[in-house]
Amino acid sequence: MSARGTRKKGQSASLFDPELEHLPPEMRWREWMNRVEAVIFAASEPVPRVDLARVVGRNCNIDLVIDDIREELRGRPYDIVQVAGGYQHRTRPSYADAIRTVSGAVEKAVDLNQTEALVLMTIAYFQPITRSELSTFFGREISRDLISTLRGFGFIGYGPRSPRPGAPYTYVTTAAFLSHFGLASLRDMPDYEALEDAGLLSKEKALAGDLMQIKLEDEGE
Amino acid sequence: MIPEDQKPSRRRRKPKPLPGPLEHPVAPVPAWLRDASRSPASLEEASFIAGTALGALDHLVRRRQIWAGLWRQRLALASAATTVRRIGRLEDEEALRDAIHLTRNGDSVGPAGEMLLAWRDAVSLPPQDCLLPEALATQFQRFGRRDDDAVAVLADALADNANAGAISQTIDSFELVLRHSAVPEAAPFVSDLILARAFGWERAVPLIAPDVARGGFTRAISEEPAPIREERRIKLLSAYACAAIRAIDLSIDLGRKSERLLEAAPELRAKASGAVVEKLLSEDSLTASTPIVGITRWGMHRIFERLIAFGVLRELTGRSTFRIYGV
Repeated sequence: MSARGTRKKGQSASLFDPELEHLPPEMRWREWMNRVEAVIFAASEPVPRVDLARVVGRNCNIDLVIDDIREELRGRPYDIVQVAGGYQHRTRPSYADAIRTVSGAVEKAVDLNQTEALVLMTIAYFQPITRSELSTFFGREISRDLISTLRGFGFIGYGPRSPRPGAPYTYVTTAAFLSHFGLASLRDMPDYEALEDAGLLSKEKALAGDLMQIKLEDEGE
Repeated sequence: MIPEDQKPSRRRRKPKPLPGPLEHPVAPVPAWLRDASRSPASLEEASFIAGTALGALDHLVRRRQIWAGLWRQRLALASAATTVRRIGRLEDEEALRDAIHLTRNGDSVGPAGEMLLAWRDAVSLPPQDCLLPEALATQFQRFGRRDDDAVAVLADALADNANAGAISQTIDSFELVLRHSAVPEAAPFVSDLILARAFGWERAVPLIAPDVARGGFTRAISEEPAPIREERRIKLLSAYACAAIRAIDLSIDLGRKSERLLEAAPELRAKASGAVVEKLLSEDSLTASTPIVGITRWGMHRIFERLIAFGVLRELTGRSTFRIYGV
């Protein structure tokens, strides 16, 4: 795998042959599959499709390549999944316990308590939102600590500053948030469409109390 | 070398009114066209009206008016606001402006701001660049759905269609986006880019997004019977006619305001005031901290205050802090 990587790097881009026209179709397809899998395997972050398209022929359908790779990985403990706008190798959820037993504390345990999860959800739906707006929303102070915990996980980042006294920062969710929760985009969040249809995706309405119902339901769970 | 160096500095010290808008005011849209564009009855009528309106618009775009940047940015803002509303968010034009101006480098502008960035890219990059598959994929992500497979298919379909006539390419591209992607909000975006490319414009002009925001433009209809398809074509053509007329109206308004700004500009004595005026004519809005070489933000404040006193500039937010200025 690494040998392939260095060879690729060593050659200039003009010498790299994505089309592989000298190979018979089956071998070409196999080589394309290998290349795509190698690129995804070697990357530490989800690989966007456009990057994958650079290592295969022009008329090669990446979807079919990915499907074939996934087919081959069927019995394996890992899989290729689409997250945060790219493809990534992920171990299957059923092996989480085994991995945790070994790596233990080494893994950055993302253990959100209920309030944190609720605040994160609120930010995701109502971004950009400031801390004081969050506090109004929840009816109690949302502490800086809580925000910095979420920032520590890399789930939220700074958005535009709010045009209010003190120019407080608003918070928005990050690509890491999408990646962690296995979402391809914000609009894939559950019930987003329903909220959109209901016209509820507005901070003003949320602050006016229209959304309290959702909050209470969530807390009840 | 030396005279070249001196020329801009002299101009900066004393910006004189540039002749463009003064000598050739934009011709207003004739009343018959305005009336006819409202509800064309047949495909022939719709085509003729769209052709006439787009012809007038084409004429205007080719004149490369000094305020064209401002004009495009305003249209982009209107289109972005419509797109944002269409996906159910309630940010308006002011909120979008805030998102752009109040975000520091490296921070995120938020989901609604991203949509404005997509439209701003469309008016600041050549249309053929915006239509490359990678660029389209990025913009679709900004519209809220990363959908690379759809974009790849769509780019192919658009390329196949690239030799058709300008108008039919544009109208067809709308349908292609609806058919191949899960982002119906991007259909007017792609159509406007295709129109700009087909007409050979340097930069796109955001047009039909506000006109197709309602009235069932979200569903692909290539499988439907012919009358329904014809109705859609009539609606789209009429949307283009209305949009072109609106863009021309806006250009008349902005042309007049820009003219007044250019007349007042020689009164400014600050060194970089020429650059500030130029920037005001190429951007939707500025804040005092917009970086312009040769002037501090206090200097910018003074220039803005003077221009407001002359009545040629407006503070757009109505706030006493975090002010945003525009023509």
